[in-house]
Parts: sequence; structure tokens; C-alpha cells
Amino acid sequence: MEVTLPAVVTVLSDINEARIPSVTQILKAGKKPKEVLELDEVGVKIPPAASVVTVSNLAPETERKRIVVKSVAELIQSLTTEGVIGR
Amino acid sequence: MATFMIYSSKEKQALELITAAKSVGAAAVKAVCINDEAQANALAAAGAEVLLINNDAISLADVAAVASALGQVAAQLGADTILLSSDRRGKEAAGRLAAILDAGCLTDISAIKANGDKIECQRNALGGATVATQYIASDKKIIAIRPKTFDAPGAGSGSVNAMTVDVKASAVKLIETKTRGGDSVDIEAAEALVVVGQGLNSKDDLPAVEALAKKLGGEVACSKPVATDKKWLSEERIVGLSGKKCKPELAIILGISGQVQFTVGIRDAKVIVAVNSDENATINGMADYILTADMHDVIKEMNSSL
Repeated sequence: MEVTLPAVVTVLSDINEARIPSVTQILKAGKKPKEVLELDEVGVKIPPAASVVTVSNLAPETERKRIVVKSVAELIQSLTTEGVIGR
Repeated sequence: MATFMIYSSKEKQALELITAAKSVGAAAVKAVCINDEAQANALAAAGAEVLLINNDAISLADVAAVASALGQVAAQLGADTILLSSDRRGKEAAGRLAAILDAGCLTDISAIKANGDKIECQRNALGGATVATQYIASDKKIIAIRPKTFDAPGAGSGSVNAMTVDVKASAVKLIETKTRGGDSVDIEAAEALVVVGQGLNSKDDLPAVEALAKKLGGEVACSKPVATDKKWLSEERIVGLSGKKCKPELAIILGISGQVQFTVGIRDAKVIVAVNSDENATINGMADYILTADMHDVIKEMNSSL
């Protein structure tokens, strides 16, 4: 693919090995000068209200049987009863 | 009453979206097909009012053009609830279309339910550790639904009408398409999966695993380290957060501890069997059948008795 500029390109996480900074480099970076801009200085407007509302965010319910089987023979028997093998 | 419009480049997923729309009360479903008359006919036979766009300027690889076309159709139809399939291109189209229509957007949806005039959607959050229920509060809604969430609809009598759209010259040019070499397995389509993890001793044990998968009428899949670190299997076979999310009838999980990054890819399986030498492995908490044993012995025994 080829794209005319300006362009936005998203890449997958495995595109390359990221350079991991050392602890001293991270500490050094913290001392570099920073300039803080307000949103209106850069002309960015955030929409007044979020368009997506979260009703709940819970751990998924697992409704699994959790039957402990003792042997392969017992397992095969159970799976045959479930109708998932020997189709 | 909301006006529903659906689109997927793939016929099977477009059919699923018709069912999805009906499940939340759509009286009529408008479906868009781009350069695909066969799909248009199939969707009409399932009761959709199909709008067929024939325009060679739209390449399906150029999602911007697809989104632009969908935006124009939605505006003409007055469609306010648009369902797309949550595959890679569908998700990109969802974002682009939301920007075009100034709509609220949710992707990776695994369940939808009407609640009054709201459509409540469920999707994984926090890397799959939780399931969030969310709805879009804006008038225009774009919802991308994961493939295989719904079944295909029954037969109906729909219609196919041609529609024209203007698409700007594309900024993206397709130079060439190459078929991907090597493994072309589709573990998401498999009815049964035999999933191996780091409990597998060596690459030499794989033929036995493959034999078992074959006997069960399924495929071999794996956790991420087996493919990316050990490179024993192709990355096409990875199950989990950074791999595939599968819904087989049967999943036999061998030698996998059950971290959430993995389980999110398999927890929708109908029947889960966990085989692990550790009786306290996390995976046992989400299994239907638990066998505490060495996976290599289990593979051997299953192969000889099936």
C-alpha cells in the first residue's frame, strides 16, 4: 500500500523491538524542561458530553461445571455424553 | 423508531448483523453491499432491504472509501443505528464512520440487548479481566459486533436496489496483493480446538497433538509463548488477547496455567476441558472438566482410545 501525506499509520505491537530506557535515563528524562499547554491554546475542543455511558464493568461470570474427572476414560465418557466428540 | 443499517464485506457476518438488528427490535433492516451482487442477493433472501453500490473506485482495502460510501448511504436513508462487523476493517470503518456522522461508537461487542430506547452492549474491558456493559447516548450510534455473536437469520423477502455514491480519489493506493505464505489455518472457524501451552515438553510432541486434533475434527492452537518465543507453531494459531478469540464447541486445553491474556480468547467455548499437572491451576476455575495429569500421557491415551 502507498499513501499520500499527511497520513496516520497505525502499527502492530510486534513491528519492532522497542528500546527500553534504563532507570537512569528515565530519571534524567524527568528533569528535561516541559511546556504545559491548555486545550484552548492548541485549539482542541473536547465534546461536551461523552457519547458512551458505562452501565457496569464487572468480572465475567463463569458458569462452568468444574467437574473433576479422574481418568481419560472418564473424560471421554463425559465428552461423548455432551455430544462434543464422536460427531 | 430507530432506522437500522448494516454492513460487512463478508456475507456470513452481514447475515449475522441482520439477526443482531432484529434482536434489538429492528422492524426493517437496511443492508449495504459494495461491489458484491452475490452478497446483495443473499441478504435480500434473508429479508433485508439491500442497497447495492457498484463503484469500481471503492476498493475494500481502502476503508476510508468504504466509510465515506456508508456515510453517504446512512445520510440518504436517515439511518441512525449502524451495525458493522468487528473484524479489523470493520473496526476501522466504525471509527471513520463515527467521525463522519458525529456518532457515538462501540466496537468489539459480544452481546447486545434493547433496554427501553437504549441498546446495551457488552464488551471486554481491562484486557479481558472484566466485561463492561455500555450504551451509546448520542442519537447516532455505530456498533461493531464480533463475528459469530449471532446466528444467520431465517429466510425472508427483501429487496435489492441500486444506489450511487460519490467517492473522492483515494489517498491510499494498493500496490500489490500477495497471498500469505505458510500457515493459513483458521482456528476461529474450528469446531474443536486442542490448545497447547508451555506445558508442552518439546516440538517433537506436536505430531501427537495434531493427531488428537484431527481425531476430534478440529485444529491445534496454542498460547502466545509457544508461537512467539518457542516458534513451535505459527502465530495464526495463537489464542488470547493478542491472538484469536475462538468459540469452538470443544476446547481441550493442555498445559496452560490460565492467565487472563489467554483465557479471554477461549472462554466463549461451549465445553472447556483443562488438563494440567497442577491441580490448583487457574485454568481449572473456568473449565467444565478438569483432569489433573501430565498432558503428554493424556494425549497418548486419548489418541489410542478415540
